[in-house]
Amino acid sequence: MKTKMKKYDNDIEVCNLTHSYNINGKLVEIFREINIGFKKDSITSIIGPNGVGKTTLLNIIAGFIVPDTGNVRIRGVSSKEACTQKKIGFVSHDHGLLPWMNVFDNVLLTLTLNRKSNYHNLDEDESKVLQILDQLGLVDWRYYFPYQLSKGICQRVSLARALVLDDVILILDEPMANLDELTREKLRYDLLKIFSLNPRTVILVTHNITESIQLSDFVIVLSNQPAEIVKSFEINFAGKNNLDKVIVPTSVEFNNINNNIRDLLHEKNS
Amino acid sequence: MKKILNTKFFLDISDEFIPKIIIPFGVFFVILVVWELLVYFLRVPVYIVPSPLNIVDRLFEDIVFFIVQSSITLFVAIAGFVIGAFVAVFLAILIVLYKTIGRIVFPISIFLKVTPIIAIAPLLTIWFGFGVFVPLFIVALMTFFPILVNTHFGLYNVNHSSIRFFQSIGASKLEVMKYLRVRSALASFFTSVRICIPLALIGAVVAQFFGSGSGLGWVILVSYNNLDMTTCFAAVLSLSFIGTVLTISISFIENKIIFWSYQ
Ligand SMILES: Nc1ncnc2c1ncn2[C@@H]1O[C@H](COP(=O)(O)OP(=O)(O)OP(=O)(O)O)[C@@H](O)[C@H]1O
Ligand SMILES: [Mg+2]
Repeated sequence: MKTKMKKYDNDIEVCNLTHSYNINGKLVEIFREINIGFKKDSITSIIGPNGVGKTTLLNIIAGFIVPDTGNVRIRGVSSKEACTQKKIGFVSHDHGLLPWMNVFDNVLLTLTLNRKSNYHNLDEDESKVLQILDQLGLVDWRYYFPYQLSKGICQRVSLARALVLDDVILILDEPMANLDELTREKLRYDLLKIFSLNPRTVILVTHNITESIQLSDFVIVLSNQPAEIVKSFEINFAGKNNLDKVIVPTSVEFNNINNNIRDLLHEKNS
Repeated sequence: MKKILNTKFFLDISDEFIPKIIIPFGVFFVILVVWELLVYFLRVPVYIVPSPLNIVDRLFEDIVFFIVQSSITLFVAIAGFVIGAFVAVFLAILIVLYKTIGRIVFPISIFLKVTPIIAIAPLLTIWFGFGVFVPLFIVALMTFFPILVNTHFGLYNVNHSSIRFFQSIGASKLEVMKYLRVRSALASFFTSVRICIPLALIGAVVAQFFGSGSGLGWVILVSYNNLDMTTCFAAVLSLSFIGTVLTISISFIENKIIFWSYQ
């Protein structure tokens, strides 16, 4: 497969974001004047130490937390508006599947809720669900209920239920936190394949540097309190989108960026 | 939600038969034997405390009568509960959908809660007359509040990740209610149902004290007036039996409906 053509218009704009939490009577500043643009049909990873405010940032972007100042525009509208216009898929780090529905129905429900017109075709929806479950290697689990599954598999199902929507902006908070190393590697490969077939704007919070480089077009390194963007990397070395085999890339460029990010995170936290 | 009463052990006969069946029933049996012996050896007169065998005798002597009266009380308790629960669940759903309704309903229901409803039973009898209506009304009022509060709690406190995901993909308030909140609330709803079983029985019996002319409450009142302790105890025994059967049935239904909480 070859590298995809990209239109780099900003799909999401975060402007002059400032936010503080009141923690036991003390005002703790989380963000001071953050500005980020997320390009259309690109995957942007956000990486940073625990407690720096990644989850808070995602919640602000999706409109669940109202920031003190600053604003977020998603495809030209506010976050709240973007939600009502069914434009976002927000996956938290715990899976939030409905315990009374099996895997298949959980994913199918997403299509029902995201439907934009009254027209729908159940057969079409069902084959869509089967397709995404197949792409993520979950078909064998489709009749299982969440309580019968391990946490890692539930997490993959919750990814599936966002990925089944093909035109939403995906906001993913540590979607692979509970997976074992090999499953992670396999899943990265599966995700790259899904995104190359159907490009989407994705914001991905992760703690895994390899993952961030391998999956994304941009990596944003956050650090310090209040959080600031230490650096934003554009990842486009040759062979990055090579989907032929599941590998951890070992090219020189990969290692350079990897070491760069690692050094930045070390430096800012010591 | 934590279970208030753990009645699951009644259903699970297969494993550990001895600790789960023999011990509770054994204890019960020993208490009855001691009671019987005490009454016999201390020569307690039957108009003060009848012996267990007396009571059982009395029960079977007039078994049809006791079944009819029990059924009336059971009907009042269940029907009153269903009315109270129906209104409470309906309001709880409305309150979660429209906050303003909560500001109207909660003060009134707290007022209802702090007023001992039983105290207005005589009044109601004057206004609405004798018969089955007043007991029904009282049971409904008594069960209303616990169901409202617990169901509202359950509807409101749903899994954070689920609700955020649903909202982000554009689910409406009504859809979130239908697909997420209602079933999430089942566990706390059932907790309140278990709280309401004794309340409903108390409401039904006490309301029947006030000239309803039928039901176990009426039986207790009449036998008390006649110093007929055996009948009184037989009626109480019937009540305990109803309460036990209701509790077990509710646990059974709950376990069937909330199948996913086994873990
Ligand atoms: N509801 C809240 N009230 C007060 N403070 C909060 C709240 N949520 C988060 N915080 C604070 O904001 C900071 C950022 O939290 P956040 O969850 O966004 O971090 P994170 O980068 O996602 O961390 P992690 O990598 O552990 O997921 C934390 O230091 C925490 O103390
Ligand atoms: Mg987080």
